Amino acid sequence: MHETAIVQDMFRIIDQVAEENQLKRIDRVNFVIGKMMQVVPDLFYFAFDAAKEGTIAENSEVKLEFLPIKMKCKSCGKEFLIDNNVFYCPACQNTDLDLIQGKELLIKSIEGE
Amino acid sequence: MEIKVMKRVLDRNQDKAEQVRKLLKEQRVKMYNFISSPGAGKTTLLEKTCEYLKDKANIGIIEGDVSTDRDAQRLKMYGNPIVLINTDGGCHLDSNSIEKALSEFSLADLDMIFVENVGNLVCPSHFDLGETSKIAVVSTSEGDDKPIKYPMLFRDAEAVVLNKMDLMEHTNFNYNLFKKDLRSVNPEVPLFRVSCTKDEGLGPWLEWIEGKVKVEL
Repeated sequence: MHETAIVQDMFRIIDQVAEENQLKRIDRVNFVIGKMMQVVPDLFYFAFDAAKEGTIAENSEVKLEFLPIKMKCKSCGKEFLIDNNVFYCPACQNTDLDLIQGKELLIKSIEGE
Repeated sequence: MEIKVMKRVLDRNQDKAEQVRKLLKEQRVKMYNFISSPGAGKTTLLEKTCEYLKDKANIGIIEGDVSTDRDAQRLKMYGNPIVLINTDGGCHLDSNSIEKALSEFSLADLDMIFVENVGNLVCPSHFDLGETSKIAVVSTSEGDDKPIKYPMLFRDAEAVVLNKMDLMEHTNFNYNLFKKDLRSVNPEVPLFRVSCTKDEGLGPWLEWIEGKVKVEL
């Protein structure tokens, strides 16, 4: 989903962080993606490689960490992972659930000099 | 060196969406974001809905399309104030363009706003517009697997409208499978089966949306 828009906004933040910390070179961007966002890794890498050319990140790599979808049951409080798009509490079968993880699009850290 | 950042990407849309949500709450206007793939029947559903609500509620429409004003022209005849947003290639509406559109309405005179989003099942569900809720529109001519393929939309939707029920017999749409998948993604969401062009099954949907007019935000 919108891998290009995500990468573009990522570079806005990268530029900000580089300026604040006087970085001359970016080596790696560590990025966290919740699985609910349906980001396609290959498209993401492709967009990243295109966007980084000619920037201080041109020799950098991006490391993607995918977080599983995690819900919390509003009835019994159980926290559990979703991996097959079935949204019931496994403990009490309740369907009133809070999503507590899975929609992240987060730059966790940037490595550089 | 490693610098801890912990910053969300695409935050600006979310921040603006929260401002829009706050404004709508202050003005006591509910906003519904209609999302579907192209051709599922959003515009026809909105035509039927606007016709029904004519003397029952004050409706504003925000019409989002990549280009042309064809859908906006169709909806104009129902007499509601309407703002057109052409995205010129953009595949979804965003909260910034919604905020601008809202400034063209007299919000004090409205009960509800219907947003017809760009035809697309993926991106619109990821870009918060500041809406009260999303309405997912899907049709029997596009396959029965949409809930399982696009869980984020169907999970977040406050209602699902399954359109083109009159065409189902001519397709291989498996209603039981569709319903099973929908219920596993969103066990409680109301499902309305309609044929907008044949005027069939619309009653429950129209009553449901009419019921929302009086609901406090």
